[in-house]
Amino acid sequence: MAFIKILLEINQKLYKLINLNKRMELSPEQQKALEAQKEQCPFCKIIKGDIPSQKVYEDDLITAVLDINPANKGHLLVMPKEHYPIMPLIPPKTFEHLAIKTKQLSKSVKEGALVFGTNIFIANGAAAGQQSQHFMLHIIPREENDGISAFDYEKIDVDKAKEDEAFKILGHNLPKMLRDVCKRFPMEGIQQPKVGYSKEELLKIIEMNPQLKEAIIKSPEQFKQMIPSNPQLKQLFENIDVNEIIETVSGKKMTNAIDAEFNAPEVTETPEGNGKFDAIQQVLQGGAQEGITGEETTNKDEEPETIIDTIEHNPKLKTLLINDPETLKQKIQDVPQLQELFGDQDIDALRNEILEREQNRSEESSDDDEDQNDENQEKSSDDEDYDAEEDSSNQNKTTKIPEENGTRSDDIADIL
Amino acid sequence: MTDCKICAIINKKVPAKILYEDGAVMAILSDEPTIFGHLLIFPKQHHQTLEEIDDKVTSQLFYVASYAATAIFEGLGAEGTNIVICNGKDSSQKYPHLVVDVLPRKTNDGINFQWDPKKLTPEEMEEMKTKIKDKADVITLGKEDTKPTQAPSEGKEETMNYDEDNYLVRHLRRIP
Repeated sequence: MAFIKILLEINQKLYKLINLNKRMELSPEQQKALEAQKEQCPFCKIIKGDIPSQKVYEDDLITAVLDINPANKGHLLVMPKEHYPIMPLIPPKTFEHLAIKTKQLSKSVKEGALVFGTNIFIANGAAAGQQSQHFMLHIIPREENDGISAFDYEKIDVDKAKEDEAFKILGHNLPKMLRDVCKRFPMEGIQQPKVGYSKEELLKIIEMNPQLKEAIIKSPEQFKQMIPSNPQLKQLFENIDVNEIIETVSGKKMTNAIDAEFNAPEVTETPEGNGKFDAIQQVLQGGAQEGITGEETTNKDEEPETIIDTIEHNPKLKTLLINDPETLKQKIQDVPQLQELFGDQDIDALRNEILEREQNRSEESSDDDEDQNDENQEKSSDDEDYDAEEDSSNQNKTTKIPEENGTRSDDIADIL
Repeated sequence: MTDCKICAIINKKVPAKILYEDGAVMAILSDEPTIFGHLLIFPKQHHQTLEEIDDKVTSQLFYVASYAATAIFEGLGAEGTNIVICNGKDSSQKYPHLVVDVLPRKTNDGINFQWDPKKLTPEEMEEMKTKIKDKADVITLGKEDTKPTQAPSEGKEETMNYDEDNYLVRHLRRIP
């Protein structure tokens, strides 16, 4: 039972980490700035009734008033009562309510202003024409020849390569962001948007949790039996071949054991497999950045550079490369993650490069390493790609989780 | 609808750059973009106006539009986004199928959603307000209203006391 409890705790932490649908959270400073903004906001005053307005609808979450500078007769503004400067800050309940009431108010506008069409318009950000700091939605009644031409789009020609790139980025990010939202309308048959975790993600999760990993390696059969009876485990392993995971994880254990032979002192310092985990993380981040900048030609030239950096950041990998390139070559063939990392790289050339660097390096190399790591984390947190954000938060957490759970490893060993 | 282009996309009869799809809505990259990164989000059921779509699908449509706007911010480096629904006749609607347009925006990108404000007299404003409010009072009392106690008619029903003058009630009482 204790074993299950630990798993549940681990999974809850991870769920918080990996749940991409968590919308924006404000830092205390931002919260303060928001409060100040709220006091100045004329729309908050309209909602409170301090400034007179033509209120059309009001409930406990939203208010709709007539725009004093209407695009057309009957132009409505629909606002949440609470002050939210941007759309992602609106809580789901309010947002849903806003959507449904917008629909109803649009109908009211059509019937009240005796028109057949409306434009519903939202501007996010000053560049898009957002003029107030209070989020609002416009409902503009439309008539024939009313002189409004803003919504007559003109087609432009977009660079094909640029469009393909946008398709790649959005096609990857959007289903991930909507992972929870899509559950409201599950789809049968046709290719399901990714729900739950992919094999790679799951391997990462296992890699981050030495206890979980140990349990899988030590008693795979018992673990397999547990999955259907435990809802959280079930969710974790949804749509995934458990046997495959167990095989991969067990395979990794073998390579880790070889690692331990080469640099025993390091293993005592960092939890098992952490170095390699970072390496995978960095490669994934590299990949994500590649996707976002789209400068593939330059990236290809830089590829050896990034791999060397990755090796530099992983002392374990570096020692292995310098001391025993043959074993590493073997391992690359065995472990898919390493294969992905090195690709078709010439190991000997890499080794020479690393050795050269090592010679050039001053005595304070260890300090430099730490700085580089910090820089790397900063870079990743600024990254705009969704995955990279996830990875960086995972990266920060990797150092914490094993510490928190480290004391319990004895418990597990007893149970098993 | 057989001749609807959007329906053809939904049924995969016309190729499109599909970004997201669930049981109720679909998001694609527009093939007739007005700006780079122009997205279209639409319900899978064929409806021309928002008013015909049921509540759950409406909120799903807004959810997907909202997340798509965020995805554009982060993925395409937009400085702002517009979400536009052309809803019904005379509204510059392109297809006979309701579509939500999500547009990434940058300063001086050539798109202008600013309108020239029309001048209305206070009387005209008051008149408009009354007209729309009268409709809204009725229409917004849909079944999804979270506060049924606010609805005056329901309130009356609950507290109905058998008024002597109420003919119907008296009539009911007479039935053994």
